[in-house]
Amino acid sequence: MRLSRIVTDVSSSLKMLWRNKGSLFWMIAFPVMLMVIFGAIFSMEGGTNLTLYIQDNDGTALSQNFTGVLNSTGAFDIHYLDTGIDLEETIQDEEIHRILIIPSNFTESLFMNGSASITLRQDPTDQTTASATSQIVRAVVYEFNKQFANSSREISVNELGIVLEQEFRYIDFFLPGVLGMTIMTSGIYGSIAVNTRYRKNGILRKVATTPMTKAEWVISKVLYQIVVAFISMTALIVVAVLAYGVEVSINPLVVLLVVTGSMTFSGIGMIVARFVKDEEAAESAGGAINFPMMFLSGIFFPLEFMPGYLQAIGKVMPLYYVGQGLRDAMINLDYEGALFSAAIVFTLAVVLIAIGAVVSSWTDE
Amino acid sequence: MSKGEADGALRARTGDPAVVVKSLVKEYPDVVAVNGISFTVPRGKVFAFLGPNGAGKTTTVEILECLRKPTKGEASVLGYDVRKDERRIRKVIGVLPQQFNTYERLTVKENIQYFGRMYDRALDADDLIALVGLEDKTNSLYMNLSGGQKQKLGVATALVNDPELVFLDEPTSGLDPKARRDLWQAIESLKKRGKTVFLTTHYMEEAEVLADAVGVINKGKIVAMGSPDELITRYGVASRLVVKSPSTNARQILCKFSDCTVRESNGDIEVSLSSKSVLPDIISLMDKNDITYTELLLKRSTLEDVFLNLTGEQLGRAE
Repeated sequence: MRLSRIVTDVSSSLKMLWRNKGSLFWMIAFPVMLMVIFGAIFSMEGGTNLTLYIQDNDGTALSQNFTGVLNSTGAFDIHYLDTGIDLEETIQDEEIHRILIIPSNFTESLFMNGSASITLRQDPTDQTTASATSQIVRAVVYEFNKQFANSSREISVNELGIVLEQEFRYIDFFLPGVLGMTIMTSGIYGSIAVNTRYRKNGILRKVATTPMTKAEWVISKVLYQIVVAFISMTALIVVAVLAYGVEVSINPLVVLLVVTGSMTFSGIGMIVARFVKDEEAAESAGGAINFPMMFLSGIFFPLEFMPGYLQAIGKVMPLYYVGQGLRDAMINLDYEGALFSAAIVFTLAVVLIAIGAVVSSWTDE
Repeated sequence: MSKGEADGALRARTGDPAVVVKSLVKEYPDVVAVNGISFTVPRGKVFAFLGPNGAGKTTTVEILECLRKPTKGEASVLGYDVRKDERRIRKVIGVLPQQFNTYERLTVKENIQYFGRMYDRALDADDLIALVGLEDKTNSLYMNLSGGQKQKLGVATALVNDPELVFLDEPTSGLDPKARRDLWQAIESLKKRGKTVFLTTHYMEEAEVLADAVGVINKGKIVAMGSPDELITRYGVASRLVVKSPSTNARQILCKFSDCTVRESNGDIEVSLSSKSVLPDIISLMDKNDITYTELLLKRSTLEDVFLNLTGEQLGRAE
């Protein structure tokens, strides 16, 4: 085993990657684009209207009349919440950004004391929608107060904030998934390309006449995949943080999952390339593994969205554990869950690389 | 240029010939590629393995390069057994494989350096580039080179570890005549540097121009062995005289004198000569019989004639 040979091969491969703008695009720019596009699509609020939750604790004709007027502005999609629920919990669970609360003594207070207040609570982080909501509600209240002009009764609006804890967005779900997907794609296709193209065009034969050993060659190719995976990861994380403010944790479990994930998929690619020797046929075979795994492993949407039998298939996919492990380690900070996934991926990596290294042909016979 | 110190112990075994092959057999499920061949290549010589495609040349060479395992028989390279000493052999040989190819997105120099770093010690890349005459392409990507330039780079990578023995498997296959002669120059310069060169080719001229010794191989067997001159003397017809003559009796008279063939296409008469000394006799014979001629051409026999004589088959011919 000679480290200098491995270093030479890995650094030369990286140099060639840099000069191959097509590969560079697929390995680095494409996953970033995919993440940005999907992140943008799924982070939009449904429709053009703002969702406004209303909890009407009064439930009189007057309060219903008031919410009816709010509804008739057409500015809001109104959702009514039951009275007597745990409001704070509901706000967190439903990720409620704006809610109007009408107190139970609303009508009584208005007629007895000549004034009543309603409470508008909003998540202030989205300033544009917050001020728009506030203006619309105040305008409705203002119009409403006009009918009481002679009786000097007045409704006032009391504004409060909402602090949403640990808001979970699609991008948080998708970032670890797209990273896992990129590791899979470049691992499988990369090792198929190396093992079929280099065998067919004679480069492998030339290398085999030098003192470089098969072990050194296999290690170099896997190491290269790992380096590429970290480059892709860096690009994805930088964009996710800058564009979406995703809070990402980089810890040893993340590193372990990226390394063992690369090894797993390189191993799969090596095995495919061994049995399907033609380059194009091997790439098709790689696609036949790559695409179902991509869609069945909870990368684009949670596994729970799929019917039970598909979930069962998803849970035997190596990519599921890479994606879920990264999600637990990077975003959820569920280290126990990440460790469980990492253990599975580690085992797969060792087994698949061993099989791949043994079966891949270095010389004829 | 310095020789690798780590290889010093290996290089000490100067007593052994460069290559010794004894009763070598390579069988595949459907074909016997090499069928019991034996030969020896002395050090410092250019040995050419000559034969048509599929004769077993490359199979033999790849066994010597430790890329294939022999079925039966023995083979040693610089004193090392190809079955047991793969690692040592790989350090001291240089190889230009058949249909050489290397990393298309590395430059000429980077490719040489890449292969250089596979060894403990390597020759300077710029020196090798100068040796094969690729100075103006030093920083060109491999993918942008012409066929001849690619082969020259292949020769340079085969020399990067300053090997004792260089295998060149069909080095000029598919090249145009100019590129072929260029490469021949580079190969001849190896000989001057004292390298042993093991060449395979299906081009006659290549073997005649470059080789000290030629092994003719056909259908997995060696059919003749010797220097090009020896082979031509022994198996070729010494020379032939081509006569263009308008005289109607020319054919009758000349074919009485010696074996001859008549080309139906142009009526040329080719007379086989046992030696050049009979030339005056033929001329006086023609004068005596009033045979006029428009052209007399003395053709030296070639390895192609040798191959034709030995196998009854035509071989590919270099331009």
